Amino acid sequence: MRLAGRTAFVTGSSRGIGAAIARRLAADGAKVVLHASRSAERANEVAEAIRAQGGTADVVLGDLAGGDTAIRVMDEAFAVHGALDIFVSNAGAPMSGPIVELEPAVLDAHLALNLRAVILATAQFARLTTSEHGRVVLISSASASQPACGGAVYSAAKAGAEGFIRSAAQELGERGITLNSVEPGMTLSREAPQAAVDKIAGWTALRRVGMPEDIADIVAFLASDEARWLTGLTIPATGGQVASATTIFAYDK
Amino acid sequence: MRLAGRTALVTGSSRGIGAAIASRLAADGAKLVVHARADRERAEAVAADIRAGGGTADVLLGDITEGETATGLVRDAFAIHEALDILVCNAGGGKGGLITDQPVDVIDSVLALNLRSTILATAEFARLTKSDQGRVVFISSGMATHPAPGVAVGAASKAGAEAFMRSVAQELGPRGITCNSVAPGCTRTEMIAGQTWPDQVPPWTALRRLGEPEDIADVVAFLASDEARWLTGLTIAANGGLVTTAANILARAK
Repeated sequence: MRLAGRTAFVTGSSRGIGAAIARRLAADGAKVVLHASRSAERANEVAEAIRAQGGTADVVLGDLAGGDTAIRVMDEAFAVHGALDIFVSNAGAPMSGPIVELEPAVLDAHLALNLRAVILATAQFARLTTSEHGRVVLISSASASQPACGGAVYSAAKAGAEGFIRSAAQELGERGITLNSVEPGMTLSREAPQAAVDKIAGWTALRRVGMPEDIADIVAFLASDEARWLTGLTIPATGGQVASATTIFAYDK
Repeated sequence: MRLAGRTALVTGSSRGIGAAIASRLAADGAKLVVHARADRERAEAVAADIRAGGGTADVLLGDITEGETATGLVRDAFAIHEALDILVCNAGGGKGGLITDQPVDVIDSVLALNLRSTILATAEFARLTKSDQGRVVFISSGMATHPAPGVAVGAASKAGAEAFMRSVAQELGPRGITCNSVAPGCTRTEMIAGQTWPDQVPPWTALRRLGEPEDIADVVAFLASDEARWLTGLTIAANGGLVTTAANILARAK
C-alpha cells in the first residue's frame, strides 16, 4: 500500500469530501487523524468505518476559526502518533451574498476559517513534521478562479489560500515537502436539487457532476510518492466544467 | 494492475521521457506501442525491456511531421490489438533560435512536429477508439507558459497544442475521454546531456533538483488511470516548483 507507515491529518473530515479523502488515504495504508469542529459524533462514525476495514483512525476536535485553535488542533493531530506526513486542509465553508450587504463580523469569521486557519495550520505542520515525504493539499474551490455574483468573499478567501500554498511550496521544497491545491467544481457531498445538478452537468465535458470519491482519488495521488515532482500547483477537479461564451454558443447548436 | 487490458501508443518513445512513459504504462499492465521516427534499434530496445518485464510491446516507425503520417501511425497502432485506450503525444522538439533568424522551413517543421501532429493523431484516436476509459495526454513544455528569448516558435507550438487539448476535452468528454497536458520543466534526458546550463536550474526549483524522466512518467501514469477520471482539459506543470520571478530571485538572494 503506497501510504503504508504514513500518518495523515484531514480537517473537516466528518462528512462529504473530507470524509472521502480520509477513507481513501486510509485505504492506501495511512494512519488517519480525522477532525470536526464541535461534535465528534459523525467523525467517530467515519473513524469506525475506517477501523472496520483494518485501518487506523483517531479524531480531534476544534473550531479552526477561533484564536489559535488551528495551531492547537495541528499539535493534537501530530501528538496522536508523534508524526505527521500528510496534511489535507479541507475544512471550509462557502458563503455568498452581495458585498454591499456584508457585515464585517461575517467577513472576519469567513476569512478566519477559509484563509487564516489554512495559514496557521500549514505553518505549524511545517514546524512539526520531520517527514521526508511531507505533503500539504489544500481543498480549494473552483470559485477561487471563476468569478460569480455573490461569490466575491469566498473567492477571495480560497484564492488567497491558493496563493499561500504556492509561495509556501518555495519555502518548504528544500525539505522535500510538496504543497498543492485542488479546486473541486460542483461536488455532490450532500443532497442537491436535481435541476441544479442537470444544469451543471450540461456544462461539464464529462456530463456529470463530481462525487467526493473523484476528489479523494486526486488527493491520494498528490499525497503519494508518485506526485513527488508536483508542487505549488492548483489542479481544477471539475470534469472539464467550462461555461465560457464559446462553449455556450457551441452547446446551443 | 491499474491499466491491465488497456492499450497505449506513446509517440517518440525510443528514449528520454517517452521511453520512461512507455515503460511505466507497461509496468501498470498496458499493452504498449512504442514509436520512433526512424531509429528502430532503440525503439526495439525499449520494447524488449518491456517484454523482459513480462509486458507486451510493439514498435512502429514514422516521421509524423510528414503529410498524414501521424494519422496513419494511430491507425496502425490501433490495428495491432484492434483497440487503443491511451494516446500519449510525446514526440516533440525542434530547433530554437531568435525569430529574426528563423528560416521558414524550421518554423514549419517545429509547428508540424509539436502542434500539427498532435492534432492529427488526437483526431484519429478520437475517430477510432471505442474505449470507455479513453485518455489523451500531451507532453508539453514549461516554455508554453514561461517566455524566454529564442523559444518563441517552440512556445507557440506547445501553447497551441495545450489549447487544442483544452477544447478537445469538451468535444470528447461525453464519451468519457479525458484530454490533458503535462508541462515538464528541465528534465534530465539526452536532449540536455553534456550541457552545463541545466546545472543552474535546481536552485530555482522548490525541490532543488532537475526532473527525471520517471518523475514525468508517474504523472502521466496517473492521468492515464481511472483515478484521474475527473480531470480533463488541464495543463499540469511537472517542474518541481520551478519559479524564477522577481520576488523569488530577491527572496533567494537574501
